[in-house]
This record gives sequence, C-alpha cells and structure tokens, in this order.
Amino acid sequence: MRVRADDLSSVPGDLHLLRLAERRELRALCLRGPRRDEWIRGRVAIRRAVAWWLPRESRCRVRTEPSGAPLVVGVDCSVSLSHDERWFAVALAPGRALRIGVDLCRRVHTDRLARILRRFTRRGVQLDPVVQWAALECVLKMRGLGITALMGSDARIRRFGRSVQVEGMGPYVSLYVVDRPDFVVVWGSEERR
Amino acid sequence: MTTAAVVGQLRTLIVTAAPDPARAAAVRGCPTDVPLDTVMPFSSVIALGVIVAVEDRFGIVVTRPALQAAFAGGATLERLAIMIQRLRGEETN
Repeated sequence: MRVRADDLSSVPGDLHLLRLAERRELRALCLRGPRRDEWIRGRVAIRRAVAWWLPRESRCRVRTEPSGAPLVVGVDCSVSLSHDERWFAVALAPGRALRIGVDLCRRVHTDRLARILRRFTRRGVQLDPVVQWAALECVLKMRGLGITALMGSDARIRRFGRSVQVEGMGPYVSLYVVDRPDFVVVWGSEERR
Repeated sequence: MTTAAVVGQLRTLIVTAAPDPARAAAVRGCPTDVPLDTVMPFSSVIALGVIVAVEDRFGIVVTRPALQAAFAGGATLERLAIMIQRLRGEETN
C-alpha cells in the first residue's frame, strides 16, 4: 500500500484532464466553487497515483461509489482519498483483496474534535484528538461506514509511535500515523471479508 | 419557530462553526434543498461540529436516527431544520 500526502495545488485542477465519464459525474453532482475544484483535483490525484505506482497498467477512470468513496475502473486496485482544505492524501493498494482507508485531518480542528469525541463517543478523548479522529475516520472509510456509526461507539484507541490501534469498532485493526505541523495522516488496510 | 426561521439561524451557525468561514460563506445564500456538501466543504468533522453547535443553540439532543434521516442523501438546510423542529417537538411546515 502506498500513500501520498501533499498540497492540493500540486495537482492541476483542469476540467479537461477528467475523463468523459468523470465530467458527466461532475455535472450531475452540481458542485460549486471550492468543492468543484477540490473534486477535480482529487480525481486527477487518484489517476496520477495509479500512473506512478502501477505504471504498467492501462488507462483508468474514477467513479464514485454510493457511499461517496472513489472506485478506480479499468485498473485492478483499491484507492482511498481524503482532503482537508489545501491538503490531500491518496492511498493505493494493487488488486482488490484489501480494503484500504486514509484520512488527513488538519490540526486546526483540535478543539472542535475534542468536543465531538466527548459528545459522540463513549470513551471521549483518549489521545491527541486529531490523531484519534483520523484513526476513527480511517476505520469508517475502510469498512464503508457512515459517521453515524461513531455515535455511542465504544472504540478504544491507543498509539505506539507510528502505529495507532483501534478496538471496539468491529475487528481490531492497526493503522499507521504520520504527524506534520499542519495535519495528521492515518492509513491502513485489512482483508476484505 | 418556522422552518424558514430555523434555516436562517442555521445559515449563520454553519458559517460561524466552520473552520474556514470564507469557504462556508456560500451557505448564506444557497437554496435550502441543495446538499451542503455541494456548496462548501462539509466533511464529517465539519458536519459533526455543526451538530454539536446545533445542540447547544437549540437545546436539543440529536439522536442517531435523527442524524441518519437528516444526512440521508446529503444534509441540506431544509433537512437539518426539520430535524431540529422535530427534536424540539414542533410542527414542521
């Protein structure tokens, strides 16, 4: 599994870089302003990740699953995408055997997240709220769960260096974490069941 | 309180609760039936931050079924306003 976190401005936001089907999807979504720009750059970032990390594969396009998660069509791989204002992270694993997830969360959310965690989870704040949240979001993405799954959740989260372990939200899972001055990125994978 | 009045308060509350108010400014004038995610970044963090602010402002406790109903198909101002009114025991119009 590979992960890239970068400034969204490092990816072109040119509509013409989208495939025809992606452009159709964008039109149907009726996104406006910054959301439209983020969406275009996100699609380009995913296809660039496929081109860099699976260079022998053929052309692909990105489709949105009903859950909102991106799905690569035309190349056998799993992807996950996260963005928060000017930052984004994309994760890719070859094949379809793994469910993967990545979450990038800015540190500007620290106080907001502490309140959210205290309000919506049974165990409240257990470690750095940004790391805790990114880990929970990563698990939700891997398992295709919505945010309502967090309400009343009894997840137990512990950090050991670059590893974050999550128990109590389905099967135990160990994730990777990287801290940056402006944001945190957490990612992980597990076998599809 | 009418749905329109709740929507008016929601517009202000969402912009105030957003980490980047300038990026949420479009909520001040967007149609009430448009998914908020199409006009501003409305990630899980921002969405739940808004819910916490809504609970404080309107004196309600947002339940999981209420949140699921409000977020099904994308949260809109109208759906959030109806959720608030129902949780306050008010008629929706």
